[in-house]
Amino acid sequence: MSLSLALVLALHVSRGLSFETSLLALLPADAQRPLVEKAVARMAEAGSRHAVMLVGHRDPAQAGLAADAAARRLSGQKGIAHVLAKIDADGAGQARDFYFPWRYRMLSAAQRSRLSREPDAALLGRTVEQLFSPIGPPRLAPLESDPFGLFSEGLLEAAGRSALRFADGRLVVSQGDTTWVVILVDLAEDAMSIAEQQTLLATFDLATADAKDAGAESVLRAGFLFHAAKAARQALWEISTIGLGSLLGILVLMALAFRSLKPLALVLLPILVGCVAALGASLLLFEKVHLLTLVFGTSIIGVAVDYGILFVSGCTTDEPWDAGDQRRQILPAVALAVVTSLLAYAALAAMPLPILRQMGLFTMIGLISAWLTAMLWVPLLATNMPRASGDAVSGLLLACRRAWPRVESSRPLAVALAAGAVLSLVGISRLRADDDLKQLYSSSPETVRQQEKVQKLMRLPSAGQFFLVSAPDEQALLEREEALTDELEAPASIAGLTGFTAVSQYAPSLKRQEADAALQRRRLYRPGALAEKLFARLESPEVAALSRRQASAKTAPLVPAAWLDAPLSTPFRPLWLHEEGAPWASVVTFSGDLDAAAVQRLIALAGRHEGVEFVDRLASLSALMGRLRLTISRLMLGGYAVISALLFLRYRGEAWRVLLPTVLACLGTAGLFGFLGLNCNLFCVFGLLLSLDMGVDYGIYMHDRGSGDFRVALLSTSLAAMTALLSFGLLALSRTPALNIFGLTVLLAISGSWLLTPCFSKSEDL
Amino acid sequence: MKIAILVGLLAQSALAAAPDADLQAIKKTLAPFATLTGTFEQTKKIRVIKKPLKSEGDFTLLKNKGVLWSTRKPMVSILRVRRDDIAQIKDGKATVVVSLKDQPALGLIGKVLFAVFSADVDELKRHFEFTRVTPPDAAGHWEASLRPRDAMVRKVVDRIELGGGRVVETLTLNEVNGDSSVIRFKNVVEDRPLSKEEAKLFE
Repeated sequence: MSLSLALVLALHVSRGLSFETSLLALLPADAQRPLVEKAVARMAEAGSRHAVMLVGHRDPAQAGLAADAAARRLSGQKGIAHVLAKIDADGAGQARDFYFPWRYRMLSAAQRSRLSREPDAALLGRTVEQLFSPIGPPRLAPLESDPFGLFSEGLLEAAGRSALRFADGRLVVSQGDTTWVVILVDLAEDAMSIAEQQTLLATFDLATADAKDAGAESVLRAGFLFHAAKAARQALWEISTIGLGSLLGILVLMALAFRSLKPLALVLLPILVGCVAALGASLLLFEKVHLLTLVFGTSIIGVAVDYGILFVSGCTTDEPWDAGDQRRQILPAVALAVVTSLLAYAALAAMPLPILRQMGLFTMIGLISAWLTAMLWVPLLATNMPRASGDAVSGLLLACRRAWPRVESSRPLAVALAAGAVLSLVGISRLRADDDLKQLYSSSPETVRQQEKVQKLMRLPSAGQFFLVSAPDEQALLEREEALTDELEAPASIAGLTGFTAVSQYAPSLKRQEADAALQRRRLYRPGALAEKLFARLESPEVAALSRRQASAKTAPLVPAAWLDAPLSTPFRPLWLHEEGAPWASVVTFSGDLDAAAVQRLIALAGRHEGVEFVDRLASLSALMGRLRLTISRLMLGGYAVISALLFLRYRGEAWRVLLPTVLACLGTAGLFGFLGLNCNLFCVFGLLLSLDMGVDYGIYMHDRGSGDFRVALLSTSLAAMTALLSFGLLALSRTPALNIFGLTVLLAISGSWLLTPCFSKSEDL
Repeated sequence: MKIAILVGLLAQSALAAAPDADLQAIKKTLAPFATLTGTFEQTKKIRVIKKPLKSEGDFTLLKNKGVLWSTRKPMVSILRVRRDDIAQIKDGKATVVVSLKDQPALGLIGKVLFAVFSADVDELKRHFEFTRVTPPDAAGHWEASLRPRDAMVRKVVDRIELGGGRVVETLTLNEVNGDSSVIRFKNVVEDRPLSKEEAKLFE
């Protein structure tokens, strides 16, 4: 079994290991709401396949030269499908040519209200003023084709919605004195291995350096790639540090305790098998194994080492060593230990969040394999054990132990512990929950800063928040979008909202087109209306007829299909979710700096419109994390109940000696977090659940050692605790907040359990 | 096609031949001032309209603040152009009509005038290529031809010709559709103190 899993692993290694680095890939699919899922997937896909570089300089020409240098470095590199730094097709011209035939059927919201409210004199006055003024607005069509400048104004308004401008054949954004040239990079679609990702990151680093060498004053980058690559680099570093650190620590401890090579090898064997089996099986079970799973999985080392230690510690006694005897002796305790550990991780594996399921299953497979190895394989190898001497260490431990205060004999200790427990409860009452999904996320602050800056400069829509609109048919969908966006457009509708994007802005509903056409006919082009008055005023009345002829020519309505087929709709296509046989649906995105109150108003707005839903991916996932935290909390309480019952069945009146040290340690840890202002999340609670399990194990090993030597129990428990402290303590160094708090929780709770367990031992132990 | 390439090459060489030195020379010629006031006359030719549209009025420019454009004939209209917005002035009150942050194409001419009167060559370079620069002659007269950088603007404005001495004297705007406007500036006075009302409009 292990061998075959090792083979799977070898096969994967030979093909180049590929691990998932994007967190989004491991979040739950919303099975109840396939439309939301589709919308999220479309948006994420659009985001993950692109990267953006902004090359800035006060002089736009300099910025252009620097951008060219960066683009040269990027084009043709492995993993990069296309680099867009110069625009041949002129976007501004495209929009004008595309919309020109439909100019009498479209109005902006402001124009519509002006044409329906303002009197003739005001409309005419404004047009004449603009024509005579030296600083009037530019006209994008001949006067006879757009006498009132509505078409030009509409196009300029639409262009103004995007922060992007076309200049010198480039896309630019500007802020203050700086102009940034935008380089859009399409990444190759194939799944990327970590190595390829790092190569790509290095290519972007070179491109950044090239741009700076060419004089760029500022280079900004944005895209999933950069976060994923940074997180992967961090995770790999952590896996190696935590994994190797734990192993190294265990080696030193074992060497000190046993002073012999063979017990050392026997302790390491289950760990090795556990890790290989976990990795191999996960690669088989899951499409993609997430790097976070591996970081989390390094905790296998700390738990699995116990099984081997318990087995081989027997050889430090003076009694004759027999592998079979030793196994019989430790089996009940070790079986109980592995079952409680598995139960704890099973709780994690049962969570509906794929990343948690993966972490749980990965660790469970590792523990089962390690345990089986320790119970079935190690005894076969453990013949002819050398007489390892643990005397020095166990002697020292024993001396410490004799000096250790006990609750039953030391009143101050009992009082202190009781006071500690009360204080902890106070601390726990101060704990605040924080279920932000960002806990699972470890991007570098610089990467995040650049992403945010780019998002602001380019006015990109907020990540994961949008309106989902659905309707029975295409026209109804456009009409619902319009009803929604009319409210968004209302002046000062939502504080901080800087804009929104919807398909109906570019291809309005037929109803709206007809209404806008009728309004223009009535106010401007019918005989005797404003067009005639305008050209009379300009002393060229004959142009009025020409103008009216153009306006009354029959035009087919603009339908979304025509717009979607045109190149100018490329950036907006992900918004349109229609597919054969599926309901009509679309996404309306918005941008801006929105606070919680503004988001609440958007949610309320969606509630008022039929077929409109406010999707907040991050918030709903954070809410899910919160629910999972409560579930695990309940599981933990249930776990205490079950374990207390089990312990009572076996130890009767002595059960409290096994249970209390862990309970106090867990209370103390949670209380300390409360006082330190650390936030309680899913991983913190899970850490407490795991600590309960492992802490009780120490109690069991110490209390239930059958006929074995007390020194052996002391030695093995201490070694087990030390190794657990090592591996979880190292996990506390992780930069991923979730793993960091998990490691810290277990570190504190386990050291507490270990230090408190002797306080509750019986006097005859000594 | 060949002609297009030739024109392109010429434009390139003209650009190459428009060194910063010439621009700096113009910059030195332009008057250093706190305020500039004067009158203007505009003649606009639109293709389908037989009679050119003529208008006149006066302007007030406050350094680093903005320009006040008062058209007096054929109708009265006062506009205030600042770096980031255009506002209409009525009864001494300003109402912002356009935010130039969102729609840079709208305030182009205002921006050009403001930049050129302020001798802000860098600002001009941000929005235009100098395709031809004739440095100041013995009498201090210079000329320059500008081509917009923004593609949207380029759909409308083909080129802008400037000519002047200590201050800009003429501005010719050639539009892509064949329309053109010539603005002549006269009676330009440097550093005339602003009236309280005028100053207030720039706050």
